[in-house]
Amino acid sequence: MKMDFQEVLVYITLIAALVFLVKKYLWPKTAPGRGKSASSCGQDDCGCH
Amino acid sequence: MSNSIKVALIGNPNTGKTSVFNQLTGLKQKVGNYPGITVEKKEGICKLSNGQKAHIIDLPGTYSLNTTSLDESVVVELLLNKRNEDFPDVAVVITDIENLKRNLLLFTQIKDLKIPTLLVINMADRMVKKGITLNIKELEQKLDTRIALVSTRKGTGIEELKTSIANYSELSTEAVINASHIAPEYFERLQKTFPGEELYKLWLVITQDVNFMPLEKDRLQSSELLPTKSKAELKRLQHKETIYRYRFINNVLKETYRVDPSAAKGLRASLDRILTHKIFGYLIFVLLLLLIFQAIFDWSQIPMDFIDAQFASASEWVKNSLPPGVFTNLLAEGILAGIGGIVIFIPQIAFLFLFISLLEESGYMSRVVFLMDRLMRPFGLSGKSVVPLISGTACAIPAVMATRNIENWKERLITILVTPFTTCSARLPVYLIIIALVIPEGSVLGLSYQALTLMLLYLLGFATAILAALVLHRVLKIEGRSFFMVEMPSYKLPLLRNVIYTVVEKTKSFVVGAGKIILAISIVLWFLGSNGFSYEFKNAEEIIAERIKNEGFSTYSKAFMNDKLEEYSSGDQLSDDKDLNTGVTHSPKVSVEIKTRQLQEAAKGQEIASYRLEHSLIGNIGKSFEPLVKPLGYDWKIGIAILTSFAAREVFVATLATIYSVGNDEEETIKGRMAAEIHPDTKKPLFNLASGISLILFYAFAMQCMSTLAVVKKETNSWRWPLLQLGFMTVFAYLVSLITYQILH
Repeated sequence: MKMDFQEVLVYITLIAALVFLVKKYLWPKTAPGRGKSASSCGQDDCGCH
Repeated sequence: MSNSIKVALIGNPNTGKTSVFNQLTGLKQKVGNYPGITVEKKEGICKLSNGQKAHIIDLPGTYSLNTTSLDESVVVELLLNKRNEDFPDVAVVITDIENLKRNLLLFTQIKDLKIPTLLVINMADRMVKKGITLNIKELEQKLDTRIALVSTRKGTGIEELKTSIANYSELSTEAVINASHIAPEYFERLQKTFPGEELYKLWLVITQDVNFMPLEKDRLQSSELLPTKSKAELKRLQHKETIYRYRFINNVLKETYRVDPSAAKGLRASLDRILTHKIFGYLIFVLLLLLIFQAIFDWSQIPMDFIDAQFASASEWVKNSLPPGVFTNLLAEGILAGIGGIVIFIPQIAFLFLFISLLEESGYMSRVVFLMDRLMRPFGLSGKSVVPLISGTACAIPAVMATRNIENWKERLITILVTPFTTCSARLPVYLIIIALVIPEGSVLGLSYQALTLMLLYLLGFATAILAALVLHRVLKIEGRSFFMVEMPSYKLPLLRNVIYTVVEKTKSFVVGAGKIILAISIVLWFLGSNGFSYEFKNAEEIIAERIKNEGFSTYSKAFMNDKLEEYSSGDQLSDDKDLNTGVTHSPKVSVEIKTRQLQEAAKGQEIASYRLEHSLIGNIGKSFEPLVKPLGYDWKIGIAILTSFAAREVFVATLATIYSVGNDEEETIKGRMAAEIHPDTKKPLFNLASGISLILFYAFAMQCMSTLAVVKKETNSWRWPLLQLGFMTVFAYLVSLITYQILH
């Protein structure tokens, strides 16, 4: 199967889009903020345990 | 960072800590005349006057070191743990000139921890207006510290503050109050048991509900030498300590702080009486909402139409200017159509954030919090839940994080679970386009039906949130309520700089944040819509040509051609119609024949594109779950848009824009394409009152936001709650939309 230049560009763009979506939703970076630690808890029943 | 001075900015909520942070670091963190903006620590670097660097940490607001909530404990954790990498070399306590007495309580506690402490008195620009005079020298002497008189609004006093930070080593580290007076014997025993530790630090550790490494509460309480005290006894001693501190503060301020009541204006009190009135307060709030929504519709119509038309032209230009091929099609039909689907909403989003920013900056938002607190108490929520619910109108993610200042876990959980019902800005594009399509343009008492509908949707979101809270309150059975104290800041004329900054930043983050997702989804959708493996997809042209030959054009194509021909015959074009090669003007009959042939070609092209799309990969996916969305009045294309907008609600319009433009050669706006869409079964417009309202209600109630789910998971530390939330909201949204459509159609 022979692909022209425009087809190659389409496939590159498609792969980039798919990689972006997979990285965003399936392997997201750890969200910034507080890490889980016992000392982060405010109350005994705060739900962190 | 090891050579830089570590500075912690600490203070009561709404004293302008983040404004001081921004001025010191040159960063632009969000600020507001509204308590509870900062719930996590923020960091930045400041270059001091002597060339040294300071590492500035902006901490969440806290009224004292007696913590009750998660965000407040961030401050205490830092100040009690010298091993913490952020433990400050100097604590800068920010206070408000008008609330100095209350703000100094925290200052005296921090000073007693024997940390070098600087006092910043902010909002100094209000001193003259409020008739306040201050003897700074004497105040410095009595509080045993250096004071910087600052106005972040005017940008004054910041250089002096930088100099004081640079010279922090000259600050006294002596305690300003001897807290052991409240229970001398107990404190003496405490010190004897742990001779190497600071006495006030020991007292704080023993009275908090949190463990602070390396000093652990268990170790303190299990000591045999120390007489044990019950929780109630400790609380009583804490109250005694607070009274003792206020007595000291009163004595200090009596000699250094004067307010001339004749100079102070009573405007604030009069305004508060009206704006927080139990009837007029709510009326004014509703009127303000109406004004906002009317403005969103009226003022943004022209720029919205302009942007929509520009994207349609750009798409046409790309098709005509670039070499023909699949990538050109992807640019014109996929990327430009998809991005256009979000960019057209910039005017509305900007107006929404302009109004929110004006309300926050002026100090009115705190009055709204007060009004809502009264309204929400019967539904089992305290005023502490109001801040997240109101900030949820911008975005549910920071709103869920803002629940950290609710100390009662169940109350916090309920607020987290109901916050996504409030109408966030991501719902706005869906609401605006559907309202524009299905709600007539008339008005009542000068207010358009469309603006009223939008306001009703915002009220519906809020009402659903508090009703859901009532149900959850019954199920989860909350014991005890959070203690709620709302800060009533002074009314201020909004600073143009802050307003513009908020509008630009919020709009930018809306467009860029959603834009990246939309761009990626549009590319995938275009690919799925332009490719297929079935016999029908590959032979669409022959099949449609055969069908037209045997059965004629579809009803929709016939109507389309008749309309266009009528338009052509009645317009000026007919008399001007010349042959491009010869320059001879055609007779009207010939002109109509030529136009008819052109329209037939266009209609045939549309039918082929539509047939091909239906049998493309995306058509196959959409058709496979069409039975699920059909009872709600939707077709498979809307079904696809609902599916993709699970990533983020804004994706809905962009998805439809991409799907409708695949293979379509007509230069048309998104709104025009949606209005022209025909229901495959009823052969009537797809977006009608019944399906439109059903769709709006689906988006009002469904949990269509993966980022919010991720934040809920993080804040509750479990998948149980976000999954329950997702399941409940989706089923509820589906049922409401189903019932609505079945009744209305």
